[in-house]
Amino acid sequence: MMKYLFVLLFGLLIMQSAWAAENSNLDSRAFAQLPVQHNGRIEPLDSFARFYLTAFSGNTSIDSMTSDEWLVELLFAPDRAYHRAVFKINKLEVEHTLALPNHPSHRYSFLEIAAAMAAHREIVNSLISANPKNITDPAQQQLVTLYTHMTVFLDISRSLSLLLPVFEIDDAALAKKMDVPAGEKFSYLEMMRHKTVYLALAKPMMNKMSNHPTRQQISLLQIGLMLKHMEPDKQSQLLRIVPPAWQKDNSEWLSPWVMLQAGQGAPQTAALLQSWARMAQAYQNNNPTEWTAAAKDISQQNLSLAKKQIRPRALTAEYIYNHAYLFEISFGLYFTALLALLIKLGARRRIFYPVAAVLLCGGFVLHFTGEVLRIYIMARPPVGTLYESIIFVGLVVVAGSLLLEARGRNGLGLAIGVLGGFILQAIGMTFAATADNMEPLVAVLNTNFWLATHVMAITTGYGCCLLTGILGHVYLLQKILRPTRYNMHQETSRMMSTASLVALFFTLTGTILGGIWADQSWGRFWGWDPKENGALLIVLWLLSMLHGRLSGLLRANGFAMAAAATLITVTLSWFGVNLLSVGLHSYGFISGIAFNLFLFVSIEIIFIAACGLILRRRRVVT
Amino acid sequence: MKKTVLNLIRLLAQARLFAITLLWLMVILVWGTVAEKTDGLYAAQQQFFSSYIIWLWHIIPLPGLLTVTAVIFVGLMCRLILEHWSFKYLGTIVIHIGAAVLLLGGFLTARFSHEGTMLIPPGENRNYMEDDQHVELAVTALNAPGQPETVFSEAQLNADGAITDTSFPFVIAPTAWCRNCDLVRLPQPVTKGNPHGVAINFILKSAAHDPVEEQNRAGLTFRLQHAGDRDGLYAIFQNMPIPEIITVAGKRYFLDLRPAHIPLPFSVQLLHFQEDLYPGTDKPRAFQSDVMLNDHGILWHGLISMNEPLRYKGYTLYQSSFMESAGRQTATVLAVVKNTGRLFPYLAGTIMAIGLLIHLTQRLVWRRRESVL
Repeated sequence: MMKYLFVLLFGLLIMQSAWAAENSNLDSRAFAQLPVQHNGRIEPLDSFARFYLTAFSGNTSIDSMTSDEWLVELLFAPDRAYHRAVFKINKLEVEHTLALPNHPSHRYSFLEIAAAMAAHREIVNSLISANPKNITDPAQQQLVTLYTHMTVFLDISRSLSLLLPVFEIDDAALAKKMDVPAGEKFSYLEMMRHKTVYLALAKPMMNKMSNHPTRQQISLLQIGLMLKHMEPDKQSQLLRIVPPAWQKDNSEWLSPWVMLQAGQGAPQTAALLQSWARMAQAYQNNNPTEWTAAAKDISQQNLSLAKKQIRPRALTAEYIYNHAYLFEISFGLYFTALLALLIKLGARRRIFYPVAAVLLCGGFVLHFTGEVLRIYIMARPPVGTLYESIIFVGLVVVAGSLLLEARGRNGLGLAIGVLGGFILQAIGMTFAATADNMEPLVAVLNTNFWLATHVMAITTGYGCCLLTGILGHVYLLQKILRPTRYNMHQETSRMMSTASLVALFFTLTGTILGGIWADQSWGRFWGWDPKENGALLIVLWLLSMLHGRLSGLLRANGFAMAAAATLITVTLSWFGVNLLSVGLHSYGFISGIAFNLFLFVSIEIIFIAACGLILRRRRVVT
Repeated sequence: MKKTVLNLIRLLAQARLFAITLLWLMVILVWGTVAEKTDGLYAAQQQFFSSYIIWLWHIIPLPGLLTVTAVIFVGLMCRLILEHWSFKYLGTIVIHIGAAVLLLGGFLTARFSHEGTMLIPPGENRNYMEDDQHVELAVTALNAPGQPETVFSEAQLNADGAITDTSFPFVIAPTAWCRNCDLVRLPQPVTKGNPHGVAINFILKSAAHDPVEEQNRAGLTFRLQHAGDRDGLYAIFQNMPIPEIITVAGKRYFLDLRPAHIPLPFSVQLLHFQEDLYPGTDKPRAFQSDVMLNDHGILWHGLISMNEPLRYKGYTLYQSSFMESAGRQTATVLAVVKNTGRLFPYLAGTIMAIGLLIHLTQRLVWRRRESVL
């Protein structure tokens, strides 16, 4: 079955790229897998394009162009890109303030916004020069963000302007003097080669300019104007596609303009720029073979320049990861499985059990493949950020419930896996959209050994706790809705205590490993840091629960209530601690979840208390 | 008598007692964690996690973390005494032994560990660590090299009565002490009481304790006596831009309020500090200090980086952070710890993990046997 799903997955991939190819006869795939240094790591241009197009427009495609095609246009035909409505404005107040024409799509082109900002420059200036702390109004914040986005957009659009053919000499005599073909366009980079000749020709003109300039003089003047026009382009620095010629394993890459000015041009880097120029040429001539060939050359040249920094397979893997949407599809499969189970519950048809099982397994395989890809791309365990921990815990929950199902074969494991996978993937997707989710880690966290041991153990523990919690809920509901099915109760109860023991094993080991890590790097085993306290809280809760059950302090129902409340403990320690934003661990700080957290905890407490009351009353009656 | 003792042991060994104690421990934990946000890490830790008694509204005594762990430890010991030593309970027994080792290690650490920080600019030597939680007053004779500085602790400054020492001729009579001061400029200069230096134009006003310990600026207002024409009112505070130097009988004395120094048996010189950023960003990727230890003439070279501390004679030196100041080279900040119980958690962790594994395996195996029957 696994094999079948892989076929399905790659089928989807091929379909998608075939559709993309129809849009333009230049293959954006070759371009999209070229490396760029961004946010401190080497990534394919595909990720770069996605990151910025999402930031600007809130979407990964625009006007039926993929993000890659959009970036190609922005780099090679910036004049067209300036007219494309890319910038999404969510706040009506911003549209009003800038007196924008109110498009129904709320998307505006660079030129439209630039004109509007120029017309309202007093407002814009007052906002961007203010202390960001004082700007709390959401509309004002958006205007500031919009301004930053505009500058970033402009910066990127100018990245390759030195390679674009913008100069032209009509005058044959002058062309001959300057050694360029007459009537043909050439780039800034080529212009630089003839700079001394040009200056020698242009200099006499500065002293005496007749009222009736010759054709040659007009040509020289045009060139001068163009050179002046391109002066600001030199600031462009975001598209770091040129590895330095003498490089170490973490040296800084440069944008073409910065490299040109820094004078770091070794023969190899000059050759690399030539290949980019060929690519620009191929774009102008719409020549697919030349385009692909140039991309291939760039890829080779990059590799020979920065062998230590580039992992070509990882670039391809990241490209596939970006385009496969594995987590999104697995979310879809979990959701469909959930529907199948609900239908089964209503219609009582046997066929829906295997359907749900296959869907859940399929979702799990995609989920797992996604994690493997992430591990390969980032070359570290997939548990460095809050987002990653959510996805990983989801995987643990689904894996655990598949194990439960394999033992019980009564649909319970399926139900739990489907529900847990669905909810966690949904939460994960809301986090994924907010930022570059493959950003490198801060210094303390940047250690594969401890990520792989302590963090993996703790997050696996979180997953097992979630399983315990869900089983607690299930038990309470079974007791209330099906009070006479004792075998079912006993089975769930047994699963619940096993799950809680496994959870204890992972959280306890993980917490102690965390202490050992802290001892290794900060010099103390335990420092009562909020995140440490959070982890300890879970361990204490599980210990208290298990000892309560053992000593008879808690009966079956009480134990189930405590197990159900494990969910509260886990969410508090996992998300709640980040709200405090104190201590060494507060790297996952997020705002705006306080309310959701409060709501969740309240609902849980009410639910558990209500179940307890109902069960107690029933016991009194019988 | 023997029966009573046995009954008491049984009572204390109850899992029920442990379960309830843990619930209270969780309350302390949540309460203390929230307090870390409001009162600051150090204050909250002192109040909740390093105390036998937590005073609610200053009147109601509640058991603090030390009391709770003591109860748990005693219970655990009783449990171990009563344990049924059989294979069936092997997992649980092992886990309980591990827990006992963990608590014992925690006790040793809490009782016998020292910690502090060292801030070393490049090229400079330090033979002490600083305790950020405590302040001291050091009086140093500047033109008498070799003469040791005289140090007064926070408690001595806070107490009534003047302080003096044979190493200097004058007497310091504190009039006001504040652990965190605001420097308040007066509308017009003080004329009464013969003020000097800062005390002419400013007074030190006690401010609320800052949750971030390093943000607190201690200050002392005092009268100087027996110093001839230098007698009068003075005010000093931590990190004064112009240090307070008093000249009496041709000798110059430097009065410095500073974090308490804890001497080390060796000195550390920073040779080189290196900070690596992720290329093209401001995000630190790694930082490391290249240091030279000098242990009474014995030289030892060490490299300290994130997650890679230097251990020497029971002391461990960690790369904690760094300090950039304008016009000067970046100084390294090292955390220094001397911890007697540091191997206990390693041992305890291993024992407990093994115990839990045994317990889980036994459970699963027996379950299967049951289902076969």
